Amino acid sequence: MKELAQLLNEMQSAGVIQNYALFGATAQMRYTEPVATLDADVLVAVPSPDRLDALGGIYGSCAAKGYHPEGEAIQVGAWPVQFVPVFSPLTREAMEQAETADFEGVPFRVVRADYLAVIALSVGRAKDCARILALLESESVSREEIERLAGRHGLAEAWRRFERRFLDD
Amino acid sequence: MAWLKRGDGLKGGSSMTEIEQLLARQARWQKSRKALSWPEKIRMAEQIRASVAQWRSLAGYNAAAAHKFKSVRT
Repeated sequence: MKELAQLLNEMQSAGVIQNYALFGATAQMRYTEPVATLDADVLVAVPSPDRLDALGGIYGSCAAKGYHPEGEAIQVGAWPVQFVPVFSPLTREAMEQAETADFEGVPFRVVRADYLAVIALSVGRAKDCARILALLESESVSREEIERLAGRHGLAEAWRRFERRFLDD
Repeated sequence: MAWLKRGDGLKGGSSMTEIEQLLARQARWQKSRKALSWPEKIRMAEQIRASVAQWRSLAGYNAAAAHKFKSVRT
């Protein structure tokens, strides 16, 4: 993971990506117990997002450094990494508002707990519901914070449904 | 597993105490994992990943072996 942090910082300095933030299960683990996951997900902003090969620059830069694709991901050290271009105002804001964590001495941008919860709410699979519950239990985010952020991104009804299903007595 | 036998185990509440102690131990263990540093949790997840990958390849190998065995028999 340290190798991934170094790679992302280098790609940002070189202008291959404008910005990035780790999200998904590997980011969740900052706040909760370790969870089983097969890959690492990274939100990225690329200079030409409308190009058909929006991720071409990332793949080229990774290949030049010896990191090659395996299926949908690029293998970086122990982790297959999925680069996901920001795809909505919510994910763009999540990336921009990310915190810079310290990973064994390397700065590493990571999506905040409230955004992790609301991105999970927007996706809505069973494992995403489990992620929201784990984040709430860890007290890294409150119901009120999720409600506010969900409301700003058109997910108020999804949050009410989640509350009725999992949180209300 | 005698404490699970209907009627017997709940006498005097001793079995519940055992279960409560077990749950309390589990909760402490979970809290201790949560308190690990992020890099330590990531390393733990890497170990889980390796185990899952090994299990998946073994499951794939077993499925292929079963298929081969079936083909030979028919």
